[in-house]
Amino acid sequence: MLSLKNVTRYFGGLTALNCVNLEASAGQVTGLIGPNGAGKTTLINNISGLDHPNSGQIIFNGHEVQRMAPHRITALGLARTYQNIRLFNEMTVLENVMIAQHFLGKSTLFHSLLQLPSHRKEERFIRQKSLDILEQFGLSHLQNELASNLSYGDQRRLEMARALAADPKMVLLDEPTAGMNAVETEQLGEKILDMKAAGIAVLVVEHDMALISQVCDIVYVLNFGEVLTVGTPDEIKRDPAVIEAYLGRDE
Amino acid sequence: MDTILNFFDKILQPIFEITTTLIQPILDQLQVIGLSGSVVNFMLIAAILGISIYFTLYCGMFSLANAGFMAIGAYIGAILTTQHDASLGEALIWGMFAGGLIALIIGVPMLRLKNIYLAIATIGFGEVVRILIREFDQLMGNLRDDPTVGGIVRDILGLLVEDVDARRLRITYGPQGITRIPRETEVAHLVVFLLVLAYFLYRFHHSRMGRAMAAIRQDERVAASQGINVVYYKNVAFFIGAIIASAAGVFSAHTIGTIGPEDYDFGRAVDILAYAVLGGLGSWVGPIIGGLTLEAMPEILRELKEYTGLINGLILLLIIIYLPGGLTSLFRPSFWLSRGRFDTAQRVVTAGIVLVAICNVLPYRLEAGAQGRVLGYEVWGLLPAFISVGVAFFLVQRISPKPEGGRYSVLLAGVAAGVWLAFLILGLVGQIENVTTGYYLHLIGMALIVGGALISYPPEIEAASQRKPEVA
Amino acid sequence: MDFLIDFFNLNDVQWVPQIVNIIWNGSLYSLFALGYALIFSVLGVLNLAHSAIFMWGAYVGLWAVCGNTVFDGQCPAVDVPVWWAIPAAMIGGGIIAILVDRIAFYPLRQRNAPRLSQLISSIGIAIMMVAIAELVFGKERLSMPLDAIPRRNFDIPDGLSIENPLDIGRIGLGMYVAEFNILLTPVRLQIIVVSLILMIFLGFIVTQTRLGQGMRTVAFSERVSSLLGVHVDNIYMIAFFISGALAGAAGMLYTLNSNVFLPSTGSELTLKGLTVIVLGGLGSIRGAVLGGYLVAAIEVYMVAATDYGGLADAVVFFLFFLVLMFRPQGILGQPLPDRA
Repeated sequence: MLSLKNVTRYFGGLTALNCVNLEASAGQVTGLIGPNGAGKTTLINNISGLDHPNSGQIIFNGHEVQRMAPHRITALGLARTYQNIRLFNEMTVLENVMIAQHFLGKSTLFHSLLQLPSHRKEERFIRQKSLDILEQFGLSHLQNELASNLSYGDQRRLEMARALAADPKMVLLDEPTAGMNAVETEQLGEKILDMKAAGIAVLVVEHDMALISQVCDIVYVLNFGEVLTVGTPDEIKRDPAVIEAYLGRDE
Repeated sequence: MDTILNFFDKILQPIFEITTTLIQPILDQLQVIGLSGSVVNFMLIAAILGISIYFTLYCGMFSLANAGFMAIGAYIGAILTTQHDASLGEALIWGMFAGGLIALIIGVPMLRLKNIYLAIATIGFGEVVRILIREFDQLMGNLRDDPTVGGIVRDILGLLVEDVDARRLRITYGPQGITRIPRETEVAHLVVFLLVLAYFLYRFHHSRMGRAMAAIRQDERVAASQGINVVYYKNVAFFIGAIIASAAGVFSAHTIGTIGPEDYDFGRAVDILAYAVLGGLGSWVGPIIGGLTLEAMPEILRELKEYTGLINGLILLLIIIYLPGGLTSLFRPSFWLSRGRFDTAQRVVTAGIVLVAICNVLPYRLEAGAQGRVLGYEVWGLLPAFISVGVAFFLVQRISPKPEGGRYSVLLAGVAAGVWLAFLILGLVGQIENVTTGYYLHLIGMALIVGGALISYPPEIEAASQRKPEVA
Repeated sequence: MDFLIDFFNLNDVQWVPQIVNIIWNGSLYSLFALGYALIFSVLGVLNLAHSAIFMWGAYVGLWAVCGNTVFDGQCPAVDVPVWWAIPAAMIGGGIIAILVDRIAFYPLRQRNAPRLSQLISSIGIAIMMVAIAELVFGKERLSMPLDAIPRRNFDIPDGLSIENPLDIGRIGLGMYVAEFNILLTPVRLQIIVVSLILMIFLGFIVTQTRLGQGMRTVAFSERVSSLLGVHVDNIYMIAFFISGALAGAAGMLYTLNSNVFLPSTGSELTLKGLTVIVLGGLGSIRGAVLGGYLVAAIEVYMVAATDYGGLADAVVFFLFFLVLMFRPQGILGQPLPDRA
């Protein structure tokens, strides 16, 4: 589904990513861990097109995407969440989810002006689908609330709902458990496993080893912009190099 | 082309006639408070201009280019009607076409810029348009005689004037501008145009495109990764704004009858911005209300005409500081219900502004009834009373958490309230007949309010927690 | 070289006087733009009221030498040496700039409003300041008495046509160097000297002192600097004072040169100042200086060597577009993060 080949990104003299190779396939949860500043978010941004690598290849769903604009990558079936929640705060919960299906729609302003049947049908369809997704995430009672008025946990869930709204083939989750308690983390893990069961490729960036062990099939460890090691969660936990990279830096 | 125009003429003519009949009572009412003739036209044009900048702002772009597009529309329209005997409809179509074309050409490179860089680039665009219009005749005259590019220039000029080979080209008439433009714009034209725009805006908000633009405004990067083509929608918003501004330019040229390059300078760009800021961007009604209000005010406040600049600047400042949502945020229940000191300050200043408006309209209302102009001035007394109570309320609220700031505020509020109470009493008793005394008292009071509010400002709302990361 | 001279049509240009023109005009632009650039670099906002401060500085200077008669819209006599107006204008400009900050920027800063709101409020206060100046000093133009501004008398040389003898008085003729055909007035000399001193002084403050260090830290990040123990509010206030003082000095020199005081003075400089700081590099002090001379050079070139003097501004703005498109940080600016 996703494959990175020798992806390198530097800012000025600072190398954020150095020859990163990574594979993630459908129906599998891939973990990405590493100390703070290891380049995890840069990597996610490069995959989703918000940033572009200086060299190397990113292949998603059979397309080379390393130079592509983010909206086109999304149209290929990629969705993501953000480390610090980034919702459209001036919009309602429902609209936040509807916006994610934007690229699926075809109606133009012209259709809307004349209220053509095709436009009405499309709007109804998008609305219904968004409501279904909100229902799945237990947010349907909040559909007309402004996104900024939601509690932290609800905002996290809404972001996840938004990511899944457009039937993505792959989802990137950037520290989805930040600020969550153990019970919420567990629930989130269930959701991730649901996605996996639905055949979606998931790439999850996390610090929480419990979640990693719960959901991940394979884990990449990133340190100073380089892949330190790859393995199953159990292998990773025993790897002395990983322990060294984390010691004194995290927790 | 002609048959299409005729067809539209046939449809539109009755519409204009019906509109004229329908709005006549409203126009009569407006005349009572001093809004008549071309003032109404200018108000409606201002509303159209407000909408034009609304589109770019709605998409998160701070563009001050609309005065430039207005100039393009005005000049193309005026050249067509004065030199080619075109009808207003044709002038409108070609003016909008020219503005849209230029928006498409400059949009692609310019809209890559963001924030303040975009703002200053659009200011620059406006200036270039103004200067090129001023120097157009001379520049084109020289280019026409140039051996290399002369041919192309002649072809292009041929579209604008008949006599390309005139010894002195007269197209934009340099700094003097074009005079004797037929004054064909009628109120009905503007009302119909505005209604069409209003429908357009209404639908726009509930369309796929409107949602996409709102998303871009709130977070461009997230919008992009939700599958929205940011570059495309930015250009579309800029384009729509440009053609609406061009249309406003055509209408205004055919209202005034005389246009010059200096009519479209930076000051005009600021005026257009002020319409949107005053009305508020929370809803599409905002820029319309803002445009109507700001253009009507100098007429309603005719005795204060001398202070127009002062009042305009003050309004811009007060609104952006105290009422970031503009006038339309007053219509939201949440505005009146929410708590916190900032909101109280907002309410006080708003109440002040609303009362100023009411108190200034009243004299004319009364004048229309009897000749009771002086009576009207006594109404001024009510205004300060209301405001001083509000200010005192607001300032007393400030005392509790911050005693050192509060003391000055209370002092000021006390003085303000005292001055105005005295004024009120004197006014009611009928001691103030001399209008100038009233003015001075009013100005003193206004200064006190503003001073008091600013010193006791700002509220410490949770600034730190609301701070967004600077670098995305 | 010859090709270039032909291409730019420089054959008939008298080099020395035009270069002198570039220097004094450019010094003035740079001086004006320095304060603009300082505020942009420290606060990240464009202070469009800068030209209003410039105009007020000039009036304060005039008031200092003329006394209270200026409020009646006249200046019949000057009691003190006219150069005293410059420090007065600087102090006045500085204080006014602090007031502008308190009224227009401070509340918005506290609320963490978007930077573009601050742009709008600066426009608002600029409009107000011009309106207040019209109320206080009148809309008519004020001038100092002809003998107030020192000048040296000399014979008007052949070939230099001055149609209206009064113009000589108003521009305050100083020195005519016949062999170079230069008309150098004391005011213009003053402009060059004062500008240079102030530029060097500002450069010294920004690069060599603790204050400058504080400013640069605040410019980098307000939050980081308050963590480092820098008094952010004080830095803002000082930055506004310096910026206002520079605007006041520029305003005084500008009006001394023309001897025309009008509330609308400086409005044309709002946008010209913008081009200056964009060309040189938004927020860069050296950039503002370079930009000032560059804009002056373009203007002088357009007027002296082409038939399109009126298009000088258009050329400047065209260049400004190119710079914004391809090098948004300006000629000397550092690449900036995306700051709104």
